[in-house]
Amino acid sequence: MVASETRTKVLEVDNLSISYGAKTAMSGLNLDVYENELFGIIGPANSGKTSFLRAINRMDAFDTNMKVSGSLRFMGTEVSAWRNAYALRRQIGVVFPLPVGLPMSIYDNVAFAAKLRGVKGKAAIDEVVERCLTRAALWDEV
Amino acid sequence: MTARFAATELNLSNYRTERRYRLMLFSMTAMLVLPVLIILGILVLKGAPMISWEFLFEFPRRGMTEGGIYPALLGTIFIVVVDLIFAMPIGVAAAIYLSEYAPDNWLTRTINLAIINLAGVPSIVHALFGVGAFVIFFGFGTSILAAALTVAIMPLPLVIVATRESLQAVPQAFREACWSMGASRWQTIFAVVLPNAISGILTGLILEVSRTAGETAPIMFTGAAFFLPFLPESVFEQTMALSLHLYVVSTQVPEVPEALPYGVALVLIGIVLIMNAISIVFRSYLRGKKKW
Amino acid sequence: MSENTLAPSQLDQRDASWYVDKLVQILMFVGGISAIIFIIGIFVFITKEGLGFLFEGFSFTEFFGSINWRPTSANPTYGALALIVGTASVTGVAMLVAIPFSLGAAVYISEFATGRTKETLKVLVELLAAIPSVVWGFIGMSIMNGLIIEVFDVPIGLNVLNAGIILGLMAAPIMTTIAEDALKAVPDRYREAAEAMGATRWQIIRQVIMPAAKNGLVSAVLLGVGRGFGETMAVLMASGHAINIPTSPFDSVRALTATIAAELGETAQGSEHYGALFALGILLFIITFIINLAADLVVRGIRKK
Repeated sequence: MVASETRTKVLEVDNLSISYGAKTAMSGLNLDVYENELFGIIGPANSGKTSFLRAINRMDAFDTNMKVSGSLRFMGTEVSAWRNAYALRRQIGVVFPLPVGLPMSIYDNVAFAAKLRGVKGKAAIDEVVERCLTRAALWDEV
Repeated sequence: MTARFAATELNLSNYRTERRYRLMLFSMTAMLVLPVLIILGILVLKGAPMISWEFLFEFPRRGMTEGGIYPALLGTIFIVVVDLIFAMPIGVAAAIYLSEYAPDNWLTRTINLAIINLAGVPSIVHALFGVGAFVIFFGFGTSILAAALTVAIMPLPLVIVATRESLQAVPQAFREACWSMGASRWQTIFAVVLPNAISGILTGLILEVSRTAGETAPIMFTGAAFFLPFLPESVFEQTMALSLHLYVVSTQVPEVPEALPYGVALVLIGIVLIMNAISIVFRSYLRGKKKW
Repeated sequence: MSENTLAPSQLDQRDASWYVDKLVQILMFVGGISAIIFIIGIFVFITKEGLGFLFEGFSFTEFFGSINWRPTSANPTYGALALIVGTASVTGVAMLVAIPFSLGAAVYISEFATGRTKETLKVLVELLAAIPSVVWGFIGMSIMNGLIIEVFDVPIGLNVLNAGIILGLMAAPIMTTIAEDALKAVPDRYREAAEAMGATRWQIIRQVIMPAAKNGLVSAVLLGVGRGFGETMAVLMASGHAINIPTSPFDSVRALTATIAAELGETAQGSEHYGALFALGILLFIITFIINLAADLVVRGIRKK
């Protein structure tokens, strides 16, 4: 049991509400997620779980219907205050419920995010791809 | 038992009616498309004798009653090339905007309305616009540039629609995956959406080329001339063009041998049909190569 | 997390790719509004050149009421009535030809034809649409001309009938394609419900599908009419050159479009005749604009369902 005051809060949610047009998906959410913590959210269908995840990395910017209000802080700063939303998203990893493979080779799929983070040069990218696929126990299959 | 399911008199008469209508509709369809084949046939029959190496690569002589169509052929190519340089970027950009950026508001609806209207503007009105805008206002004078710009606007709606459809066919899931990883809109479009929409872009390009090559009115007063003894040296000069040439030899030249206009028509329609055929074949080839 | 403990202030930098993204957004937007810019531009420039005429030599009653289009006579008159009627008559004949055939073809291709036949027919219709208008005009002058003279035993073959048939063939492909789309848009469950009741294909088409596709079919016809009004070269070459009101389909006429094309080359820039031709252009623009607007509104009626 580690004392919570010595660990950093990665995510601070305060009175978060999400609505799509006139319909409210969820409202009044309050929670904190700490560094190195495994935090799970369970709920019935349509309770706003996926909406919450989308709000964390500001994917609501791509949906003109979605309105997010309240406070959501990542590493101390409001996510809506980030000047470069793309940089924010590069810091937060999201895994989709249904796998989406981009229509390119496996290598390019894995290398895609690495190239976004600025990894340059074939050798460096090769290393990243091998490392990721090995960790996923796929390197020998591919 | 079988007697219950035997066809009644009403059933039989309904089926007879259907067969009659089906036949009638088929003949109507045939009568609509047969002209293409008949026209092609006649053009080939009467025009093929004219087609020869000299016909394609020589200048017209003796008041265009003899010789070839070389300057007209080249002129059409010049106009098409300049046209593509302007039309493709604008058309593809417009399609990308409509498919990837445009919100569902009044401006987007207006843009779509403008595209439909642009497609319906008469070619002679385009010509008038070209004269007023490019020849006079922008001061290009009657030139390849003015003619190409005028004629470039005409197939724009086709390019935009073809490109936009292939962009919209790319599943949204790909975009969301890229955005989640922190890719910008442009990075997503460039890396995933555009490469998979190539078929639409190429279709648009071929449509643009084939429509441009065939247009006469828009270039008549903006840069195409009836007869020029020399080839143009810059885009600010006039040029001859295949489509205009057909009009000239069939209406403005006295004593022209009967086969000559047929030959010109055959070359023109040949170019257009070959381009369309390529586009059709290409599209069905791409349909089989879908990556998802 | 332990690999990357940079504070947001260091990470939240607007880098090159952010600026490129914004620039691209602007460029795409410019491309997007280009269609609007062009439509407005077309109207602005043709009005600009026609303004001189509109303020001086133009008289509403003469323009729309007189058949005397004599711009080159000593006392020029600009009566466009004969030209308007000429255009309308040729378009009328064209629609008589095109509407039944293109709707019939649309029904056959979308409801009866299958597989190879369907593909072939669709390709043929597409190729029909690709034929340039000057080639159609040439066909009107050469093949149709002779045909009409022989079959109907008339002295001249360049007339309303000639241009009308050619125009009909030109407008048919676009009408067929749009009508096909309208028929395809009718939900399958209508067809299935009718089939379950034992209706034959033709009964389903006539009583269920065509009424349901009504809006799209009307829109197809409107767009065909618009095409007919706006066609230039084919009509110029096939309708003859007489400026009069036709009393029979074998009369020669002059259309609005053809008049502009035939006379513009001979006018001096800024002259009254020049402005009058631009005025004809403005009239054409307005007519086709209204037709296209109507077609769009009719189609919108479907979307709302």
